[in-house]
Amino acid sequence: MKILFSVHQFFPYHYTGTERLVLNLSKQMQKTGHQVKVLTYGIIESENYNFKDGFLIKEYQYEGVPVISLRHVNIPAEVGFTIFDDGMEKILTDVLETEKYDIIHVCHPMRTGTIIKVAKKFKIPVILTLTDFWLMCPRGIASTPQGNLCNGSTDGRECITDCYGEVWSGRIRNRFAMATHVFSLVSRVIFPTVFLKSMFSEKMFSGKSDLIRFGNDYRYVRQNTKQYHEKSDITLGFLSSFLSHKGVHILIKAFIQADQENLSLKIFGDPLHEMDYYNQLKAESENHRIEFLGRYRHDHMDTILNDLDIVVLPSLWWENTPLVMLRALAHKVPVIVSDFPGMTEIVKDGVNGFVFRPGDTRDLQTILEKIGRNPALLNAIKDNISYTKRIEEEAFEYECIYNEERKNHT
Amino acid sequence: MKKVGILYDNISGNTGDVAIGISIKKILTGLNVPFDELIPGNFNPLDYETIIIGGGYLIRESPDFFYDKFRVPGNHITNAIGIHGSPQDLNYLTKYKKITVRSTGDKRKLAYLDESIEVIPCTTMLLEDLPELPFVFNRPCIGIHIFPVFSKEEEEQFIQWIISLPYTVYFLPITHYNKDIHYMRSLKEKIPNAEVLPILKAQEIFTICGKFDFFISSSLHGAIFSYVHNVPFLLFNADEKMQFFMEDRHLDHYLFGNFYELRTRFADLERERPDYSENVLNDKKVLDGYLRYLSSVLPVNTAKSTEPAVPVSEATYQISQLIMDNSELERQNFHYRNRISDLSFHTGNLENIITGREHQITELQQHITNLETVLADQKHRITELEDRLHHLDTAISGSKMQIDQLRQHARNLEIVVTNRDNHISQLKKHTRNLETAVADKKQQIQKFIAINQTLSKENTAIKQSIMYTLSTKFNNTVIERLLPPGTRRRNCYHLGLSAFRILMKDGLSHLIVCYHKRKEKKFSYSDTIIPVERRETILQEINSPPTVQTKVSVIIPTKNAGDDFRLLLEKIIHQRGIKTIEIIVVDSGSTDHTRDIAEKAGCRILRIRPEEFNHGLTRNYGAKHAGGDLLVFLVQDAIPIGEFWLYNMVKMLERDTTIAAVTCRQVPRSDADLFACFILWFHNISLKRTNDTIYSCDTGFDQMTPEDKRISAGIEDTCCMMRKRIFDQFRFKSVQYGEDLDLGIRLLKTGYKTAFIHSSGVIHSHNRDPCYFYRRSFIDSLALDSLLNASKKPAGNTASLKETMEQILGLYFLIQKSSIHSRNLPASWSQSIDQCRKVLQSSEISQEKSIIFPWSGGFERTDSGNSLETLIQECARLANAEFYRLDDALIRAYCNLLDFFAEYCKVYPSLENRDQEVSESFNKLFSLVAGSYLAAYFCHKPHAGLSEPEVILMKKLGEGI
Repeated sequence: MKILFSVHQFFPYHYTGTERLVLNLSKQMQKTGHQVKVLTYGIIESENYNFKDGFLIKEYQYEGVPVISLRHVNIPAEVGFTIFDDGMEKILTDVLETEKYDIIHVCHPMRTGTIIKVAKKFKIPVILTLTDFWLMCPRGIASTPQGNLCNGSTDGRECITDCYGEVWSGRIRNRFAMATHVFSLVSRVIFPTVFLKSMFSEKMFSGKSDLIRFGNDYRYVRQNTKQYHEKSDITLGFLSSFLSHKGVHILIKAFIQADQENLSLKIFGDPLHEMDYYNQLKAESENHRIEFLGRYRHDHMDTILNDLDIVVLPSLWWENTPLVMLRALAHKVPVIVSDFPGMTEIVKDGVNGFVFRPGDTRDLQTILEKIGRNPALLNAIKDNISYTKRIEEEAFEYECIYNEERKNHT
Repeated sequence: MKKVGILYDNISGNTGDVAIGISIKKILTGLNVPFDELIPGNFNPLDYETIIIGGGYLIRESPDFFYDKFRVPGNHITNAIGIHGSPQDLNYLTKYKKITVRSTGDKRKLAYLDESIEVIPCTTMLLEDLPELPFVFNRPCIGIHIFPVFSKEEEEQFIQWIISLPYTVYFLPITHYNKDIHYMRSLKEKIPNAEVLPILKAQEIFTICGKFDFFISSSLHGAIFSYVHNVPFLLFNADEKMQFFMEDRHLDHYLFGNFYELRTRFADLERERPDYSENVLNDKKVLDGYLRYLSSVLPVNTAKSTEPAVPVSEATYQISQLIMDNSELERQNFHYRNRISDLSFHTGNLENIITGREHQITELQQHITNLETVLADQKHRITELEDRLHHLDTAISGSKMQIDQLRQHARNLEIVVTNRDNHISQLKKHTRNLETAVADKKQQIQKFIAINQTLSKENTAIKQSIMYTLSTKFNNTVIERLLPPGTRRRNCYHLGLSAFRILMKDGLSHLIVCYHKRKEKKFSYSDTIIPVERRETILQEINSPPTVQTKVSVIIPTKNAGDDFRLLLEKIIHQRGIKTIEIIVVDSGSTDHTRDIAEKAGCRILRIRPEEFNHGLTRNYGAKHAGGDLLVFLVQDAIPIGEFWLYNMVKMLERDTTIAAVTCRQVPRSDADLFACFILWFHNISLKRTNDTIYSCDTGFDQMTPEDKRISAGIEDTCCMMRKRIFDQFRFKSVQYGEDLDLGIRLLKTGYKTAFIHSSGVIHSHNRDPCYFYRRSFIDSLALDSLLNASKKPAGNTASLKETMEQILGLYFLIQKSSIHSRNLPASWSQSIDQCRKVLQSSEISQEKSIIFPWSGGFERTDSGNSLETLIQECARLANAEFYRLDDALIRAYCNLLDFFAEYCKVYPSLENRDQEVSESFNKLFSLVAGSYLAAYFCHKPHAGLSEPEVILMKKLGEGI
């Protein structure tokens, strides 16, 4: 089988969850004997491109996976907003004419989403995996500039009133029409969480969908086998970007208020553009057993998670199954999470982790005090952690869907 | 060679740079000059005679990763370029045809070049408005482009000031790299009379700048666009380029650096509206001159004018004349424009007066409008009251209808109640009948109990009888011993018994009918069926898992299974859709935590001594203690995929009660090496495992080819599910290898079916060394031969062990000889494999079927780390090998396998850092072929006739498998 994966950005410059999903799937498909290629967009790259049909194009390999990267000569400011770019149809037609694909798997519709339209002309089945809110929310995070959570929209009215203003109304409505059109063009839609599916209104998408949760690469997983007694010292960890909507200030406040002598806190994360926020919290955290350890590397996760006893995800926005949480569970490290459905689909309070009301420092403080007073309760929690999904399983499930769709198309 | 190229910043997407690109392309198109648009750093300067470089802020101090790409040596032209900082290394510009900069300030920076440098305005001034825009602007209005330039305090004052302005405010994003839109949107939240325009294209921004009454800009090009439209503007003094632009036009008093300056200078603008038309006229005149210069030095495309009206020299003369005439006309034009400008000024004053009057009229109209609004409100209220009255009327009539409906409903209910009463009486009658039936049944049960007791007594009497004891003894001592289950003899015995019974019961004629029916049955296999419905991925069903009541026992033989065993057990425990799962671990002497892990997971643990381990008997032992109706045999490192792995296999068995065993697919682990993946792939295609398939064979197993036997009987105890009832009849045999295939064969021969499920599987692979594959291939080939009579040895080959081993040495020699082991492998798979094949199939070998040359007893490259070479050496010495013997058939066998390997390798575009894996793969392919070839020798020899070295060799190759 020959499979084309489409993703809005890719390695080596981009390496977050969706890119990792594409890389894992590509490599595992190769291992089982399928030919693959990744189609992506060079949003920050400019080297080694060639002119073709009014676009820049280059081919390269990443860890044995062949990649085609496209970009506009002048990257339009709305490239992250629009879903279909008619100007791109010619060059994408050429991509599909050059090599014959049996399946196109779109893992993110941003920037190269036009491939969905072009694939229809070639009668190639398209599988769409949605890993975030972008198709529904141009801002991508389903929250307003004021930080209010958004419950989604059926036609973009909420986007106009809460985020963009009346001047944008035409473009927003058109975008929603295009998003609905995307669903009518694809053969299968796959969500990694039930919650994400629920955010897309029935008006936009009411077809059959599949749930395939993210897998962990167990090559790098060494389970944390620590056991605890009543006087154990406990190290809490926060691993994420140091941004206010990730709620690290909630954690620090709750930690200071809980004031448990056997608890310490390690904060890993890049301050990115919120340096004031970072410096302020760092100053507040002095003399409180809180360490700021800066950015962490993905390949150090194993060591970090074997050192920590609990990972806390105090987010203030709709988290959609963060990979850090899944990775912690794979290592058998208990997690404390905000009560958002993307996380509580997997974490059940008091069973395999702890859940607190988003933004409620008192609630989080109560949990920390409980753990501080009796660390041994973590033993039962660890026993109940059972998230063992592997990337091989994830790829196998996708392969079954590819096979079914190929049969349906013939 | 191309003549002209244009080079500007077409990468960053800044509005100013995009506009520059549009303007320069427009100019050259207007001059009919063919040109190429160049990508910075991505063209060959020698291809171009002239490159027009700029404008914008392109010349910067070196080194600069991006802007150094605009430093192109040659005989080129700079186009109104800006100089950032004070670079002192621009001497290459002296070779240029023409150096033009965009301001006097920039010219000063190049004074050290001692060259003629011309100041020309930015070519974007030549852009033209779009005929229409997607927006309508409320007037009077003010355009603002701003990014965070104020302190917090100033920002508050700025917001209050904007709110106080009597204009509609439009925030216009221009410099997207500043994320200006985000900042302006945050300002808009606090300003009720403001709108944020969307991100627009350069020419839209150019046109919009002409629609405002005033413009406040933090972008130089925002200012240029306002200036050229004669719209009064203020410019934030962010950089010297702003300063230079304004100084050249004596507008520097309209720069601002803080909010205080902004407010006072805007008041100046409002009080005395500046007129830039004269300046703009001057700028355009300079640009005209520049255009004339470009037309004189750049090659004009003459291809289009196929028939010139006059000779070229004549045309050139006429153009010169026209240019001169044009200059004169422009001089006059300039004069008239000055005059027009004066008149415009006067007109402006008159317009101000008119505007004042219009303002008064507007106020009066506003007053009238207000009065009309009040009137409209009153009317609206009256209408509302009328509507309300109407609604009340409707509600009353609706209520009446509802009452009627309720009455009707009550009547209906009365009828229903009557019907129910009837129904209840019927049910009572039915209950009485049932009670009678139950009493009857109870009587029957009593009778049956009595019969049962009688029969039990008879049964006991029979069992105690001498005849029964003799029959049982005869069966155990004669039938079971002489005719073991699964043998042809036993089958014949059963066939004979059946025939005898039919003969006794229905007579000879019926026996003949049965014989013919049986004869007509034909062998069939590979019935491709629809895959079993997968349940794990369907969202709608996620909360309603199916449940199978059958108990399943999973049997896992273990020895030092490692920490990953915990994950395996968790996977089994969390299977969904099966009511009861039992895990039986048969441990043969683990010294790690295997048993602790199993105990913690609630497994039943059976222990045997390590020396007691046997693939078949150990599993039989586990099965004996299993309480499930279905058994699953699983190896300790095969990880089930998904939560419905067991359920899917059960569903496959449920399709047909005659399916005795189902095997699922194996996929490689994420850390599997190239050859491990190839082996699994090859295994699946060899056994044609691409779909869910059921295999059956009613009578003709012996008529099948060895390949078909292998395919249809290929259950695998890596992971397979069996019905316990059937397993107990057959069980694994105590063979050293191939116990699962043996069981599959016996099942098929007895009339049962086997199945393979492609859409359910386990993760299972191993990265092994070449030595392992050599041993494995040897052992597997022996087992296959004994089970299927499928020796791989080419027909007619009667070589001795010595010759066989010499042929293997010859193949090994060839593979080492081919340069596949060199460090410089070719760049692609196909080249690498072709290279190997070329050496193997060299003309020398294909002509001479058997070439011989002496073997020294060792290998030149042998080192202590190469275990394969050590093993081959040992085998060769045991076989008394003396020569390398090149054998065509063996080489062809290797090439055939190589072809499959090449087919698999197509999934990888290149070798890319996998030299070691490729090199090892060629050795592993050798191991497969050589192991199988050596086994073929032993297959043709009776066991009793083996010499001592042959016995040692066999034992050696069986070690560790």
